[in-house]
Amino acid sequence: MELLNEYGSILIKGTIDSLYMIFVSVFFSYLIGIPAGIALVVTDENGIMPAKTCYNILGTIVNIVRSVPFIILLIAVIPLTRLIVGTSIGVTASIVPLVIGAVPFVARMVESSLRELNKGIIEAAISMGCSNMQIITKVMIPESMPSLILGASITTITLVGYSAMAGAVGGGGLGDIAIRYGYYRYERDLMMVTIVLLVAIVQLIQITGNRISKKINKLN
Amino acid sequence: MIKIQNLTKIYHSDHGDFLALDHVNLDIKKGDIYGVIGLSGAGKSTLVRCINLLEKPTAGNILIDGEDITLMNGPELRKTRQSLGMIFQDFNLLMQKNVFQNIKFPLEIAGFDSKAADARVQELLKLVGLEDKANSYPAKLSGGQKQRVAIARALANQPKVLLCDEATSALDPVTTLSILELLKSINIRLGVTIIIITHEMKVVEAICNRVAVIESAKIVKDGLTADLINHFEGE
Repeated sequence: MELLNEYGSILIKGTIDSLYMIFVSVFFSYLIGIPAGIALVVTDENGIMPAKTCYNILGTIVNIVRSVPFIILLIAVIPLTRLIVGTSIGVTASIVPLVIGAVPFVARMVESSLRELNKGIIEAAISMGCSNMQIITKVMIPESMPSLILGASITTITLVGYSAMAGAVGGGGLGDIAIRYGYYRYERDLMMVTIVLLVAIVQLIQITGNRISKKINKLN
Repeated sequence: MIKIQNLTKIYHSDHGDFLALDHVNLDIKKGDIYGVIGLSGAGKSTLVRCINLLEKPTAGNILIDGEDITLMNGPELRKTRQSLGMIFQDFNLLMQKNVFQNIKFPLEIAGFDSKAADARVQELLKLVGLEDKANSYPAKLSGGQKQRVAIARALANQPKVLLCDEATSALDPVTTLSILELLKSINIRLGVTIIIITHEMKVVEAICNRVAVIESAKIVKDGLTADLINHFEGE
């Protein structure tokens, strides 16, 4: 109780900062990751718009970024972050590496969701005279929505972890509190509280994702 | 109505080339229910999939009302495809859309006004006898009901031709019969030319007026169903 009295406001601010980082990054990583994921599916040699070079280049970029450990990526992109945000410290600044780290992840999640779709449904759409754009927007995405939602909850949870790491380089949020107070000042109790809060956030995201996906899925 | 001339399809793969159709010629007349029968792997599915260019022929021509679909692409091809309905063995319905939305889908693609499309969907639901299932989702339907939805969807844009790729192969005999009867009544009432790909002689006997037998990528016999049945019985 004493702990909460002393650090309550810090914890509340940390939680809000974390949620802000996570959700803004999810938004931007999907903004870029969805088109990238779609491109990976449609430009595949068995896709609706085969384009080998495009597919290979995109796949390689995704793999390269995904191979870089996030903690390294955080530091590596500092110059870029300064360029975009003006500073490399703080909650908003940490969104830049979070998005860069998450986009390839989102692209693969979207790709795998769209690939689950029965190829026959796409053939039926072609036989009805759909254009490629109509197949993407009216068939592939709506038919994959339950799976895309589940993927989004997994992505969001991954970003919870990433955002905590961003704390290590002055990114703010709950990870920052855990490292500054828990690790450097040996305030183990406070560190435990931040962990509990992170676990609660993860649970909430997963449960919400599962519920929405189940509710909109007409397969069961 | 549909003239297939020297249609050849070769699949290229790492294991070598595979000849799926070898100089196939067919002449399908308006109002026909034309059966194409053969064993699996004979090339019959490839044949029907070439007619709406789901597969691109290696050589040959397919004239639909005098227009060669193999020369078309882009908007012209999509427009022509709208006049060629198709149904499949696995139905291929949109699983996240209900029956009504599935049937409305091709009308949306064709740019129908939403109200006019709704009225058309009602007509089609009645045609296939699924008025009470409009709000059901495909996962809750039986195989026969799913194929009825697929038929309604294929007919939405009032096609001249209905292509059926093993449309009854996933159905039990009783359901098969009811779907064949539906196809027959569509042929008579709407004058839609129907092309049926099947491996079952009883499907051909039940509704086809003409039939072609395909064997190892070639048409080995074609003609009136009655003549062909006599021929087989004679053997």
